Amino acid sequence: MNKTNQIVLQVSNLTKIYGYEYKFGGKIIGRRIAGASDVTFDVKKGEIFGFLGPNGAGKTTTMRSIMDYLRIQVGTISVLGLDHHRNALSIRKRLGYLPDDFGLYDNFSGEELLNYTDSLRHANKEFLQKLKSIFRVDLKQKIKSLSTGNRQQVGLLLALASKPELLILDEPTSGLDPLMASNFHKILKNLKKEGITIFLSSHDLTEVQAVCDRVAIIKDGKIILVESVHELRTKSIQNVRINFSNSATRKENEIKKLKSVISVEKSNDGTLNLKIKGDSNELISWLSRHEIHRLTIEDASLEDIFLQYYR
Amino acid sequence: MNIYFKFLKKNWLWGVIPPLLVALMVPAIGSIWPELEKQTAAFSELLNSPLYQIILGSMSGFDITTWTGFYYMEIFTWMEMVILFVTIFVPARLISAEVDKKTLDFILSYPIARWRYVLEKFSVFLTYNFLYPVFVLILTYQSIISLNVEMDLVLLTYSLIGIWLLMFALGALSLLCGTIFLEPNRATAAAGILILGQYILVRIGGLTESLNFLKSFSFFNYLNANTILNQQKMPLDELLIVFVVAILSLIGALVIFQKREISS
Repeated sequence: MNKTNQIVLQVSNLTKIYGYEYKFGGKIIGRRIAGASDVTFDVKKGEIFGFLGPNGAGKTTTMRSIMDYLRIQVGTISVLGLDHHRNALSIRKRLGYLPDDFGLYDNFSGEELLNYTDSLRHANKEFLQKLKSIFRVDLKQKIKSLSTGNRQQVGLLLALASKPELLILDEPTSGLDPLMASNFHKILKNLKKEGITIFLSSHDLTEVQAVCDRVAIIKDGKIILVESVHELRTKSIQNVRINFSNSATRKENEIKKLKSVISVEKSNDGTLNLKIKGDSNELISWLSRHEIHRLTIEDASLEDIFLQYYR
Repeated sequence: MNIYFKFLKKNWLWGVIPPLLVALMVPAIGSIWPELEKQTAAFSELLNSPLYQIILGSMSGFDITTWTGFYYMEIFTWMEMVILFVTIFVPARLISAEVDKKTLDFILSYPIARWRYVLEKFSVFLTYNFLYPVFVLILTYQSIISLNVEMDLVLLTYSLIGIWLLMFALGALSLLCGTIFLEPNRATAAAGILILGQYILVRIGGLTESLNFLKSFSFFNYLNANTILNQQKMPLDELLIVFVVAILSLIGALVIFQKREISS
């Protein structure tokens, strides 16, 4: 099999239902909520795969199921070619995990924590040294005296220290300042170059756009899209800004009739802001018949695309 | 054993100081004994009152006119209080507090079986509890030399081993509560009901003959220092009961934690 096509993480039909329901005297007691429903996707070797969705969409449920913290009712999860439940310990030798909203032992220092976890899964000393120089958190301080951002940095150090084959990161840059987040993105890109697979969830769409190769969008526990970031941006809506040499009032009504145009907004300076989807030739052909002062066409940001699915 | 040694080192202060404080009761008891010995007859009369009998429970069986009786009553009353406090509050929170503080999410991502993690942490609890008999024994030996009194140290060792096994069994029950509830307050409450309930049962069972059967449902009735002192031997049947229940509770806790979900 081609090395780049090797599937490192495969989630098939994952369904996780929380709670119980009982029928008692004709009444239903309790409540069942689907945390994840028929979730299917796979992550290839050396890929950075983003997992998007708002709070409560099922991101953390999926990640915790992969980590075998939650017991799934339906479906299979294969991590590094092994069953996530039966081979949990073998998998953990080769995996690094950063939980969302995690806790660290308050009375340990960062250095003590790293030594402790090194005894459980050996750290890659050279890589760890490099990470320490990038993160610059004072590892001699007790965890309880560290700020949220610094704790997050310690968490990242712990997850990355062994330079594992697969990294599962739940909101990795939450609490980090922009500079540190940017440094972290560089680390991820370098790890990708070395063939390390990264599965990350994030609220920060700019981050996902900057580092991810493919994304899955989850809504109400169901995967609604799995696509490469490039494809997603190409196939999805585009933002068009047009400045006509003369009045745009009449043209606005004409342009609205074009099939590819989703919406038209006119700004105070007369610029028409269009959102288009699909074949743009019709619009270009129409524009060629008019006198244009300035024209800008750009792919929609991931945020626009994301909102398109969530509105 | 990395987890065991790490937590053993990290918690040494909380692990060593309580047994040391309890053991320091021994020289305190020894220092008041020469003066108290002259008044013990009257004091003994007073303790025969039904009110004191209920309060003292099995401890009322000691002859406090002798050094051994007085020492046993004092030190094992303290030890009973320590057992109640330590076994209710510590094992029930060993794992549930980690869930609450979300430290478990990180640690379980490392290649360590869940059951092993619990076992190693519980072993730290058992190790530090072993310091109670060790410290008490050492300071008792010192005290009987300085007081120039006689005491059977073998029987005392049996009684202290009994106390440690009781801590093991009640601690395992408390740990079981912790792994069932995985929420520190609920786990502590459940352990409290279970352990305090047994303590109350043995007290109520001692009120009248007709209620005596209640005692057999309580751990506090087994491996009792009073029984060991009266029988002049370690009651092996009781030891077996306590040990078996302790092991079963511990296995139960390990299996439950291994199989259950860790919700965020």
